[in-house]
Amino acid sequence: MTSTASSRSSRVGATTLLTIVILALAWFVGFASRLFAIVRFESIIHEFDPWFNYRATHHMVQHGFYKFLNWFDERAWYPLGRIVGGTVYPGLMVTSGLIHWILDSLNFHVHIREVCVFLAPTFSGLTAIATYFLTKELWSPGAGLFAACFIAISPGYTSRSVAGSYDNEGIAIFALQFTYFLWVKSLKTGSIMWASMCALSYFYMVSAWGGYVFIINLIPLHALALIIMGRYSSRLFVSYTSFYCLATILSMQVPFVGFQPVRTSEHMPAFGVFGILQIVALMHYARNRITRQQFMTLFVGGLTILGGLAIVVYFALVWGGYVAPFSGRFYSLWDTGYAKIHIPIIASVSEHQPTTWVSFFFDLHITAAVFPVGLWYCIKQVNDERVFIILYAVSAVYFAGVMVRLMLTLTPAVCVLAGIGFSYTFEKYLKDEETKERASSTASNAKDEKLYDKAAKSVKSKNTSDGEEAQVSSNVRTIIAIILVIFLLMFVVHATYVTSNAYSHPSVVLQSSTQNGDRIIMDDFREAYHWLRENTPEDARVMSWWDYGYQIAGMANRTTLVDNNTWNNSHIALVGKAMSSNESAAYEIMTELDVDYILVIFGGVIGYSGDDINKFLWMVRIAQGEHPKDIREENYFTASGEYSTGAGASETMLNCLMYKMSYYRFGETRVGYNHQNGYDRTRGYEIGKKDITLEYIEEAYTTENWLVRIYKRKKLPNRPVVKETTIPIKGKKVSQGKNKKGVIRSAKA
Amino acid sequence: MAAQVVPVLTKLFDDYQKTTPSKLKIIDAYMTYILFTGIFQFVYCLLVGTFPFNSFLSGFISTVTSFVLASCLRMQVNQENRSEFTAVSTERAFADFIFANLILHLVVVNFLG
Amino acid sequence: MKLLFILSVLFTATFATVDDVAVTNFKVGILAKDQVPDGENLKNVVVHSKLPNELKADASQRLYVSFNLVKKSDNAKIKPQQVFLRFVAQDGEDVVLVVKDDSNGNYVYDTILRTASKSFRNLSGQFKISLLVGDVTIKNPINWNFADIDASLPTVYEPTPKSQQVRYEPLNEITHEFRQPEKRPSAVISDLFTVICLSPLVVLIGLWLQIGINFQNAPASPWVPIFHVGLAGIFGLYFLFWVQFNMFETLKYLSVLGFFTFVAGNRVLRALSETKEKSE
Repeated sequence: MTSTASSRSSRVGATTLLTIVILALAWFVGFASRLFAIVRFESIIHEFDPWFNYRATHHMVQHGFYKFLNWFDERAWYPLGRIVGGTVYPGLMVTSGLIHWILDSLNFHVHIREVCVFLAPTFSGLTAIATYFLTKELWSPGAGLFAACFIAISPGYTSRSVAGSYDNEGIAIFALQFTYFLWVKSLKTGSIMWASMCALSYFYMVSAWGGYVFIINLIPLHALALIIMGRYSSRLFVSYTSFYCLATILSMQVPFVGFQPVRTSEHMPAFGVFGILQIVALMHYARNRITRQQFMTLFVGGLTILGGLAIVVYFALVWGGYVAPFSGRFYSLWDTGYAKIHIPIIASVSEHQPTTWVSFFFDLHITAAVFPVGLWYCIKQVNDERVFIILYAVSAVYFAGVMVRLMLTLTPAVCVLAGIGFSYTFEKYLKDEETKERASSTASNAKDEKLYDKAAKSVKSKNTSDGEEAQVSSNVRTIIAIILVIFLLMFVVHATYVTSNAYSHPSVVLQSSTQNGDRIIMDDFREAYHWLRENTPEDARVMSWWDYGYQIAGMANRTTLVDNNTWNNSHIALVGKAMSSNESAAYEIMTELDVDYILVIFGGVIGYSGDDINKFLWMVRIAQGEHPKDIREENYFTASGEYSTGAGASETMLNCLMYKMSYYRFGETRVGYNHQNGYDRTRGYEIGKKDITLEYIEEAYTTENWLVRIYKRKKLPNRPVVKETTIPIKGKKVSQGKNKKGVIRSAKA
Repeated sequence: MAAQVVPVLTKLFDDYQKTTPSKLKIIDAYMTYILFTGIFQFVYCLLVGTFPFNSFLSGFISTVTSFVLASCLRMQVNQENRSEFTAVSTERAFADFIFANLILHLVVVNFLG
Repeated sequence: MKLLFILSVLFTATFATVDDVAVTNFKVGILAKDQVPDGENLKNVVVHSKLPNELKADASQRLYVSFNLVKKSDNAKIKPQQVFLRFVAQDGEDVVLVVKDDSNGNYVYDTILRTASKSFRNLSGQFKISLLVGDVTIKNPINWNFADIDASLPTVYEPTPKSQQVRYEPLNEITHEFRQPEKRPSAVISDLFTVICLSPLVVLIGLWLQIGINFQNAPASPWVPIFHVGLAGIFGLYFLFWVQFNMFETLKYLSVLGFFTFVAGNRVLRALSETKEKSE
């Protein structure tokens, strides 16, 4: 008796140790594979939004939390400025500030930039652990380990969390998974404490990412589905109601969210379910105490009246302006054409485009193929919490199909279900004493050990699995097991490949290779921003398209007109109008906006496709949305209706500021021996007009590869109009010209 | 309709008086108290207005949440539901209740302004 | 360079003979486009008198003004530094044109009005024309309103772009308007409702007394008072948070208080459940 007990406890100990080791390794592998960007380039902040987050974090660390909440940034959105504290999700900044503070008090003095750079990889490990717990609650610890390993290296998640990609999503996915875990946990136990923890975790999510709306709609959906399926229980009531109440008031503590949870339609379904749950609970309470017939009277009568009343009240509130109707972003999730027509600024972002099939495979690889299996198992053996993962997966698949960006929310669901799928299959085909072999195989394989672990098991299964299930022969089992292991290996290879090649580019530094394979680093962006920082006055205002606003603010420390926050469409449209007008009209706009420098990205020399000429059509569209009289999209097309800057380009196109700034002096250059002068490598043709003269602006700086071109707005010309009293005409020179005119304004005083 | 509803309600009330243990009655009394507080606050908002909206919300949500938490506690303590809450003992339920209340009121105070 | 220039001006001013200037041979007229100026279509104007009738012109016609400038003392032709025609519109806006001398030293202004109207900044209608002559060497400069003209000039010229306009006056100051706080109810109503909201508390105590709360169940243990004091302390802390603390201070104290309360509460409830199990 004692011996079996001790052996069991040792087995439990071994399992726990193994779990911890596997999770630690998953963390490590996830962390390590996200460091490609740092190894290849250096420890810098990537892309666009992270630059703002970094700047905000820096500000918070320097000035303190309360100052940060009240921060009015006069360097952005000139001349309007931006209330940063009230328009930002502070979770990210607070998290890295906290880590920085802890390290500081432990006497590890690290620059805040390093904390920011390494935050996302660190949190990917936490995500893996949260996923483990979630899957464990949903299915089994084995599936949990699979899921944790999947999420640690899944490209769909890596894409947003490589080192240096200091963005909200990096920590939000952890918060998402952890909230779901706590929700499932609280639903299973019916404990108020877990529900409170869930609300706290949800609060963290709200403070970190706008995607929290997904949670506050998915959990009510789950509750509703359970009620409709007749799976109502007191546990559901306890966990949902206490979660909802605490979560609502907690989420209102984030300044950016404010009163939205009681004011906008996006949050109303959660409230509706809360109400329904109250009624259902009341019914259940009453059912035990009265007859069935009476019950039906109460139930049907009460529910219809209340339901009707609720709908009437909702519409009355929307009509009365107390509750905001659904926002445009919400509609664009249901109608993919909506954004293009109504909110071009959203449609102009590439990550808001509908997803292609390729990217599903690219980001998820084998897990995309396996997760329906897991889904099927969950449906077959459904229980309260598996309803949740089913709903999660189905809705996430839909949203991922609508927007590339939401692939990120799909990835965890897919990893969980693929983990379940693999785990279940392996359990079926590799039935033997698992733990021992796992333990023996783990020690030898450090990296990617789960795969080798399975491989080892599959080899052993040949000997041991005979006679367990008569239906499947041992050979078949072996083959299936080996094939699955090969799939898993391929997944690892693919994930590593994708991470290193597709997702580890800072996009601040570009890389290309010469014909003999040497890598060339093109550092044009930083060159240009450094130039701005060193050579322009402290308060110079730089106009550029909004993509580069955060970078200019972060790296060059200069005032920008528009940036990636895109909260003011008309201001962006004004910049778009300046870019797409002819020089003199643009000069008027730029003078009104006090622009000193103009920055354009031009990829024609090196063949960089993400440049402003390729984005130009969106500038025109956004400008047209606000100024339909001055800017018309069709004026920028060739006679045959194409968008081109080449031979057939329209007159409007050839005279607009963007064209002139991009191609100024480009006609004198020759990019290759076999090309004409002025051959644009990005577009692949010769430009339409080469002799470009600038009247109102002058070239200030062009980087080595012409990637960034900076122009200076000329000051006012010497004017013929002078004031009599201030400048008397002197000298005999006046009489030398021919009927030269001088004008004197009357001094009105 | 009304004729049907009234006897049902009276029967419910009689049932309640007879069968409910005093532990639950204490909680019920607490819930009634909160219910009235909430109603009065709502009347205030209808009559006078919600001007410091955060203060109103924190007060109102505080009552709603307290009510909900109390009803949760009541469910967990109730012997009839014992089978559903295997993981939660009476004492554990009470501790959870206090924990949730502490969180709630920290937030309420923060939101009160 | 500038200094040299100033010096040279001073030099001329000091050493040139200062004298009065006279306008002679002053003729003014409106001519058609190809008309040759002669005695018929020009009118002589006596110096410092005004042409009796108003000149009328449209944009296709020429304004012709010719005169000589001589020193009063010796009738020698001179070239003063400043010779202008000044047009003053009715609203006081004015336009000044420069008059050039030809090779003979005669001053002639002869321009089609359409060409000249570029300087008129959309002004049109009636003007007073004056001749301005001035120089450092002239003792009494001339400002002579010699005629009125009714010129209908084209007014289609684009206004100067906003970026080229110069405003010397300061712009209106923009004062920030703060949002007016909504009207709060009077103190009486607020207090009344505070009392009303607190009133159910009485009901609560009444009900509890009626049901009967028993405190006998509490186990005799030192943890019990600690637990209750801890809870009370936490709520006291919340009150202080409301009144003066900021979040970080509150969390600091809360972590300490919370820890003790948690331990105490754990002990109390464990004791409770143990006694219950025993009794069962």
